[in-house]
Amino acid sequence: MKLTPATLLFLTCLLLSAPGQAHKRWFMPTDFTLSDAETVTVDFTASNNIFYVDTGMPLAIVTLANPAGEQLALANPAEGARRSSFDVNVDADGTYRIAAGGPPMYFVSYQLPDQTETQHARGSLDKLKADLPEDASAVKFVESHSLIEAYVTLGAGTVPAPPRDNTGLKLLIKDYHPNELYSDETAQFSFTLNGKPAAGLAVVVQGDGSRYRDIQQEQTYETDTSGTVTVTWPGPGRYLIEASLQETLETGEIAERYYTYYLTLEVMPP
Amino acid sequence: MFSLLLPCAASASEVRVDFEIPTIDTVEYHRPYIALWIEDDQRKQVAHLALWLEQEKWHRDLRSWWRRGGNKLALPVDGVSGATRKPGSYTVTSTQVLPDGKYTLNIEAVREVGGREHIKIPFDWTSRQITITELGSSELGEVSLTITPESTP
Repeated sequence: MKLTPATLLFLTCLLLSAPGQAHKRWFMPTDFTLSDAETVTVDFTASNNIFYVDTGMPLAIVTLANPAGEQLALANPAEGARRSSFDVNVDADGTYRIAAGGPPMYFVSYQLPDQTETQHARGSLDKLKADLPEDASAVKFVESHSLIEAYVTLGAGTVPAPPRDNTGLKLLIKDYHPNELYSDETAQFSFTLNGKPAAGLAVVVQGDGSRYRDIQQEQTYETDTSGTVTVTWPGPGRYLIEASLQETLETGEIAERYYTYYLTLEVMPP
Repeated sequence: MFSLLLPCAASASEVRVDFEIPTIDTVEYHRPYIALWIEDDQRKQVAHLALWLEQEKWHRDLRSWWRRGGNKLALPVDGVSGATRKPGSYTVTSTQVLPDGKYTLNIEAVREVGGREHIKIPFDWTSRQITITELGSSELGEVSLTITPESTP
């Protein structure tokens, strides 16, 4: 993956001043399940309005794998102001995996003797360290990982090959397939952190249409010891699942590490 | 124009609104955008009392205010529009001259990645002192309207 300085600047701007205040980022494919080969157009945007596009995301961080696990190029890529989009020619039976990860991002906060306000900066760890003023105190480095995913299936769902790199927060597809969800059934989602079950993880489920109601209408779950949540759907529709975790590290130069995972889903009526 | 030609009692009163922006414990908190205005019985905005806003992009999310005239209002408005405020208790006062009649005080609050609440307090403008209190349920706490007629010489 190549990340241009412009892309990095864009990504860090989206994250604002603190990882906890980052915008929601999501894919929205035209179709989640297909019964015949079809071209699927996928939007990629950063927006806190679900599902209302706001700011186009860079396509350089997007990877696309077919059911055999082969990496495919994005067709008709376009980076728009409010959304980026690309086509996926879905012609093989099984499940395609669309993902956007990218390297971790770094933030620093510190105090200066002549300033009352906490100073903030973001960028690569090397640059943050190099630019740190000599008289800075209460220096805190924060590392932020994120992964954004969507799955599209032709025919019956298959389990995509797991990402080669198991670091960070990942969805583990086991008993429930993300493209076979129905509003009259619960569904289970399992997460791993660095390859191990992610226990105690906060998982937020939010349905479409937040722009048209007065409340966010989020359901919040916490994963059990096996890293699993059991979700009850309020009804059919499209949902955003957001899992996040904050680690406070006792040793080393990084004080806190944030992990964020986004998954867009479709739940069908019974 | 007709109203100018017809005999119509208009009087000056001090309008005082005390309201609370509640503290909300959440991972991602943004200060709410707030609009405080008076509508006549035709739902027309006749007075803007307070507008606490940030980016113009999100002004439309105060959707009742926007619908009833906010979309036509040129900002900034002296003494009315300003930056968003942190949770706490606030008081807004202004002197208004209105014809006697039925009006509604409106207060709308909307918060990014939060909720929206719109409280309406109907009242009569009749040169009499009144105090009316309503309780918000999510984005607003207690809202209290006090109208005090200015003493006539």
